[in-house]
Amino acid sequence: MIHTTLLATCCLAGAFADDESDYYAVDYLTPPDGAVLEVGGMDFLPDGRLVLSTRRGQVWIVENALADDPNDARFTLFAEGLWEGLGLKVIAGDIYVMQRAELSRLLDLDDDGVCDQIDTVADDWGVSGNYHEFAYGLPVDADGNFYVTLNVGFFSPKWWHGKSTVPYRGWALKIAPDGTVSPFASGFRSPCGVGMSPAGDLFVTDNQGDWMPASPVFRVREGGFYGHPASLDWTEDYRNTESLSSDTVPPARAATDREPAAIWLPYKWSRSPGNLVWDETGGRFGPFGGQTFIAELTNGMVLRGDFEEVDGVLQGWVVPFRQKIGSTVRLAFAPDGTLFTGFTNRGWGGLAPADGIGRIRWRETVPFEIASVHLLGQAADAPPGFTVRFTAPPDPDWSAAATADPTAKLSVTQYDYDYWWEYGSPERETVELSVASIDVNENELTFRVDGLEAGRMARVQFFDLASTTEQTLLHDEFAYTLNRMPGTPAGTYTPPIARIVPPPPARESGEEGWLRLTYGDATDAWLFSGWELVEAKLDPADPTRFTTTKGDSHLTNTAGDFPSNYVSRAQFADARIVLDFTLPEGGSADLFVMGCYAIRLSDSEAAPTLTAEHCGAVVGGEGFESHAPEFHAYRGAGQRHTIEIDFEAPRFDASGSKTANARFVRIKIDDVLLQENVEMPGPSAGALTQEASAGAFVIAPNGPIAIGNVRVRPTASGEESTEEGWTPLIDLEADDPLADWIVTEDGTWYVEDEVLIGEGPRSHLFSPRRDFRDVEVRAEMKVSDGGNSGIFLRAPLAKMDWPKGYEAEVNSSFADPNRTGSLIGFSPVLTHLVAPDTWFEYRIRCQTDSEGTHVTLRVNGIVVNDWVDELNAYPVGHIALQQHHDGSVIEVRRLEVREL
Amino acid sequence: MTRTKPTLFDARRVALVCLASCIQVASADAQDKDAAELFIANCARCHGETGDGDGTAELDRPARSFKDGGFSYGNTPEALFRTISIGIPGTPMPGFDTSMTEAERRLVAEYVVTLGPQVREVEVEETILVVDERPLVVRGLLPAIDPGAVAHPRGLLLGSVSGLTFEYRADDVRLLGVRQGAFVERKDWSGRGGSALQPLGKVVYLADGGLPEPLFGLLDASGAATALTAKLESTWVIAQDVGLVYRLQHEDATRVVRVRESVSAVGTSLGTGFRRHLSFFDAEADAALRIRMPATGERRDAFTLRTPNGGARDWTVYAHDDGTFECIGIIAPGDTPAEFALTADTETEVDYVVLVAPEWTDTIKLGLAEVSDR
Repeated sequence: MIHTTLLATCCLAGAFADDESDYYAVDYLTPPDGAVLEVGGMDFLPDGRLVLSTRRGQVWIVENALADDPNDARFTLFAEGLWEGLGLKVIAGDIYVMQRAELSRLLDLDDDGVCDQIDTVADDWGVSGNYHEFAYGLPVDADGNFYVTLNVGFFSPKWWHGKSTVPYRGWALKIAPDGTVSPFASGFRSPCGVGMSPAGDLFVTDNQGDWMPASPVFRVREGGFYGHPASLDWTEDYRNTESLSSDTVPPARAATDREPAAIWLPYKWSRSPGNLVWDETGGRFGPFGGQTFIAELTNGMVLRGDFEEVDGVLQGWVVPFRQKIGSTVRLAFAPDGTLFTGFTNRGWGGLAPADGIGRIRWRETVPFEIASVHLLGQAADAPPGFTVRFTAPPDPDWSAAATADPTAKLSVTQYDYDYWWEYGSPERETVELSVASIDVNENELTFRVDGLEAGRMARVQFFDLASTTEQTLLHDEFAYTLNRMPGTPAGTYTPPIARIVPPPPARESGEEGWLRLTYGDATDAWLFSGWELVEAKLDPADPTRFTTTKGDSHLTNTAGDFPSNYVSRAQFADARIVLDFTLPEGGSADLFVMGCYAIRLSDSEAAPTLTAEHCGAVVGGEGFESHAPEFHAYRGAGQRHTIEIDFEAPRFDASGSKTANARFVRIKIDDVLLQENVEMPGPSAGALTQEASAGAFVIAPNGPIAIGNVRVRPTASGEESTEEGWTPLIDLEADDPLADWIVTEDGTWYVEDEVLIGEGPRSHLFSPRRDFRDVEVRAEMKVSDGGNSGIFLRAPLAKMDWPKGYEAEVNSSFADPNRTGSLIGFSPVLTHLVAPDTWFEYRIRCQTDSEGTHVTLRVNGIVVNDWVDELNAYPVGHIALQQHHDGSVIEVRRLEVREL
Repeated sequence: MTRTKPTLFDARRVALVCLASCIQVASADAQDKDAAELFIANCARCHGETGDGDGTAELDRPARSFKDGGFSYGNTPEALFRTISIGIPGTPMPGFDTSMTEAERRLVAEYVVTLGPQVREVEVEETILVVDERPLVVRGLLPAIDPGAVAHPRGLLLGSVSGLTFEYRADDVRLLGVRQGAFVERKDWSGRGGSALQPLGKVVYLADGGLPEPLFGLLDASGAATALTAKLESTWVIAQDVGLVYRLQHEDATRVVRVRESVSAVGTSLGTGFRRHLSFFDAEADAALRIRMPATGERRDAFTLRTPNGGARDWTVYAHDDGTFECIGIIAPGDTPAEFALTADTETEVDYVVLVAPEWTDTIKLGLAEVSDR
C-alpha cells in the first residue's frame, strides 16, 4: 500500500476518491529476518534514529527510519533480556525503558552500539507474578519526573474481577529523577496508554472491562480516583482501616469523588486503546495541528480528537482518523512529521499486522473532515448545541437542505453507560434528540439540539455531507463526552457519565434455582436399568444405532438388552426442564413430564405441514388431540439438540378435585418456539402415572437415544409450602446477631451486609438452644468452589472434632462424593445438584414417629432425599452450621426454623 | 432470544440438515466439521455463521467479530476455553460448561481463532536464548529453583560465556543458585506473556536449599552481625564479563556501601566452581562486614592455602546431607576469615569462590590450591 506520488491539490472536479489513503499514506518498515517486533515503546535519539522497545524485552535502534523507501531502514539490536518494555523515552540521548518490574536506564559505556549496563532507576511497586501485571509508560514532565501506570491482576477462579494484590497495581505513579516513586492517582484497570500533553498534563487511556464501561481517555490529576475500585486497597483510608475493595459493590468514593473521563471512546471504534500523542509538527502532518491522536489495537486504527475545558472539567470529541493500519498500541511523531505506529496483539488478537512498525504520512492534501467541535451552552431561548468546524465549507445545497429539514441531514443521539463490575456496558438510555436549528457560516456549522444535557455522551452523525471542494465528509460521525454544560450555575453537581447502578446479580445467579440432575454423577438422581455414560456417535454402518466409546458426554440406553425408562427420583410440579438429546435415524422417544404429559421426540423430516409425528409434538390423550409443533427445529439424526420445557402442573383442591389443567407453557428446541400454551385436559396416551400435583420426569425411549445435561428449575414445589410458623434462627439485621451462638475451635463466623459468613479453619456454629426435636430448618446459602459445609439437626454440642446429628451436606465441588442433598452417614446424593458459588434453598425436616425419625431434604423446593432412621440415632440437640476447612467459604442469607 | 417466525437463518439451517446427513465419522475432517458444527449450533446465533459478529440474536451490544481478531480475555487456547466455558459475566456471552463437553469446548476454542487473522505461531526454538560470545543478562519471573524453594517475580539470570548461569532474586539481591548448561527459555514470549522463565541449565549449586538469607552482616563492637539488605542498582556486561552492582543498606534504607560483583566460572582439575568477585566502594562510613557461611551443613574443615599468584585464601568446608562438600574460599583483607573492614574513602576487594566436591580428601584439598586470586 505504498503511495509514493503525491497528489496535486484538491480541486479535481467530482472525481475525488474520498478514501483515507488518499490523504494519509501508510507503509511499513521491514524488520530484520526472524525478529519479532511487538512494539511497547518508541522514541527518537537526538540524531534522529528511532529507538524502540518490545514485549520480548529487546531494544532496537533503527537508522534511516524516515527514508522514503521503508526497506532502507536498518535495525540494530541494542539490548535484550529485559522483562517486556511497554514504554520508552530518550532523555538527553539516554534511553529509558519501562520494564514490568523496573524503570531502567540503558547505557552504552564503550560506544559500540550495544548496551553494556542496565541501571535500575526505580522498582518500588508490587509485582505478584500474575501474568496480567503489565507496566506502561513513559512520558516525562518538565522537571524530569516519569509517569508510569500499572495494570491490575486477574486471578483464577473469578478472573473477571481485576485485583490489586500488591502495592500500587491499578495506579499511576510518579517517579522522580532520583528514582523515588510516589503514588499519583488510582482507579485504573489496564491503563495501557500514557501520554503528556504539550501543556504538561498527564493523560491515560484505559481498556474496557470490569468497572470500565467503554475505553476512556482520562486527564489525570494527582490524587484522583478513576473508577476501578481494586487499587483503592493501597490508599491511606483503606490501609488505616484494613479495608479491602469489593469485587461487586461500587466503592463509596465512586459516588462523590470519581473523576470523569475526558473522552469515552465508542465501543465500535475502540476496544483496546494504546497511547496518545499530540500533533506538534507545525503543519507537517496535515491540518490538525495541536490535536490528539489515539492508538487502537483491536480495530487496528488511529483515532483523532481534541478537548475543551468547561468549568475546569475536561471533555472532548473523537472521530476515526486512519483505519486498517494494524494492531496499533504505540504512536510517536518523528521529527519530520511522520507518525510512527508500533504494533502488537499477541495474546489478544486484533487487526493484522500483529507486530512491526508502520508510518503514517500526510500526502499534503487536505481531506474534508471535522476540524473541531465546540459545545455551546443554552443561549437566551436557544437550547444547547455544537459548533462544528470543517476543513472546508459545506456544500450550500447541503446547508440549505439541512436548514430546511435537519433530521434528513444530521442525527443527534445521547446515551449513558452503567458503572458496574461487569465487563463493559452497553449504551444505556439512548435517546434520539431533535435538532432545533442549524446555521452554516463558511466552514462552521452551528446546530442547537432540544434536550441536550450534561452527564451524557452525544453522538452526532452527518448524512450526505459534501464540501464546496466536492469532497465527501471522510468521517461523518463524532462522539462528544458531555461532562459539563457551559453556563451551569457554579456549585451544581453533574454526575459523571457512567452512572452507578445497583450491582447486577453475581454471575453465578444464572445457575440459581436450578437442579442439575446429571452433573457429576449422571445416574444417582435416577431410577433405571440399561443406561450408561458414554461418548455416542451414529454408527456409520447402521445409523439407526449409536456406537459408543468411553466418555462422559452422553447418557444412552445401550447397556443391556432391555433398558428401562429413565425416571427421576425427585418429583416436580411447575418447572422449567432442559435437556439435550440426540436421536439415531428413525429414532423416537417420549418425554413424560410428571410421568403423565408427553412430548414426542422423533427423527422427523421437515415437511410443509407438520403433524403429531414431528419432533416436538405434544402427545394427545383420551378426548384431546395431539398438537403438532409450529416449526420443525429438529435438524437430523446424530445432531445434538437442546429442548426447553416450561410446564405448569395441574391444580387440585382440598378434596382432590382438579381445579386447573396441566399446561405446557412453552416448548422450545434450540431456542425455536414450537409450542405455546398447550393445555392438557388429561394424561397423554401411554402415560405412566395418574394425574397428580407432582411427579417424576420420565424419559421413555422407543429405541436408542442419547441424552445429557438434564436440569430442572422448579417454579413451585409439589408439596404444600406454607409460610406460617417460620422464625429466623439468626436475626441477620441485628447488631450482634451471633451473640449467644457457640463457636467451636478456631473458626471465623461473622455477619456482613446481612449475610452470615463462615471461613477459616474447621469450626461449628451451634445454636443457643439445645432442645430442638421435630423441626424444619430453611436456609438460603451458598458454598464456595471447593468448599464444604453442612447443617446439623439435633446435634449434641461438640467443642472439638466433627459433631454428631442429622447432617445435611453442603458440597458442590469439594472432593467428597457426598453432595448437597446428602444425609451424611445415612443416604448419600452423588449427583452435583447445585453449582458452587450459587445460592440455593435448603430445607431439612426432622420428625420422629412410631416408624422412626423421618429426615427429608429439599433443595430448591424439591425433595431430593427422604430417609427414615428406624433407630432414632439423634433424639434432640442444637441446630448447627459447619465451617469445614480453611479455604472454604460458606454464606447464609436466610436461616429460619419451624417447630413441628 | 425466542423467534416465532422462520427467518433466513432457519432456512440456512435446513440446508445444513441436508448436509449433516452426509457426515462421515471418525476422521480428522470430521473433527473439523464437528468444530464448525458446534460453532454453528452454539455460537453463530450471536457471532454469525462466519464469525463476523453479525448474528441474528438481539443483543445489548455487538457480538465480537472473530474475523478481525480481538478477544476480550485473550486469544490463547486456554483463555478461549475459559471464556467459552464460563462466559463473560454481565455480557450476553453465556458459559457453555453445561451444554458442551470439555472436549467440545476445546474444539471450538481452537476453531474460533482460525476465523480471524493468522495468529503467529511462536516456535519454541525462537524463545530459547543462547549465550555464545557475550554474556547475557535476563530479567523475568523465576520459577522455584528447587521444590523446597519459591518463585521470584523479580528474578535475574546472568548467563556467562563459560556455560554457568547465576540465578538471583533481585528484590533483595541474593544468589539463589548456579546452573550449568543451556541458558533460558523465555516462555513469556508466547500467549499473553507474564509467565515464568524456564532456566535450562542443571542446578550445580543451591544456596541454602534455594532460600538463602542475606549474605552480608554488619558487625558491631561486640562482634554481633546484623544482616544487611541489598538493593539492585544495575546489571552490566563488559566484554566477556558479567555482573551486578548493588547497595548494601541498613533497615532504614540508608546506605552502608555499594558492591560491584563480577561472576564467572572457576576451573580446576576437580571440576568447575564459581567465583563472585566483589568490590566494595562508596562506604558511607568505616565499618566491618562479615560474610555469612551456609545455613545448612556441618562445618568440616577450615584452613588457609596459598594461591598460584602467591596470595592466601581462607577455606571453609561444609558437609551437606546429600554427601557433597561445599568448599568456600575467600580472599579478604584482614586476619579473621570471612570478615573485613570497609573505609569510607577506599575500595575493598573480596574474592569469593565456591567449589562443590563429591567427597572430602587430601587430593581435593590440594586441588583447591589451583584456584587463582581472581
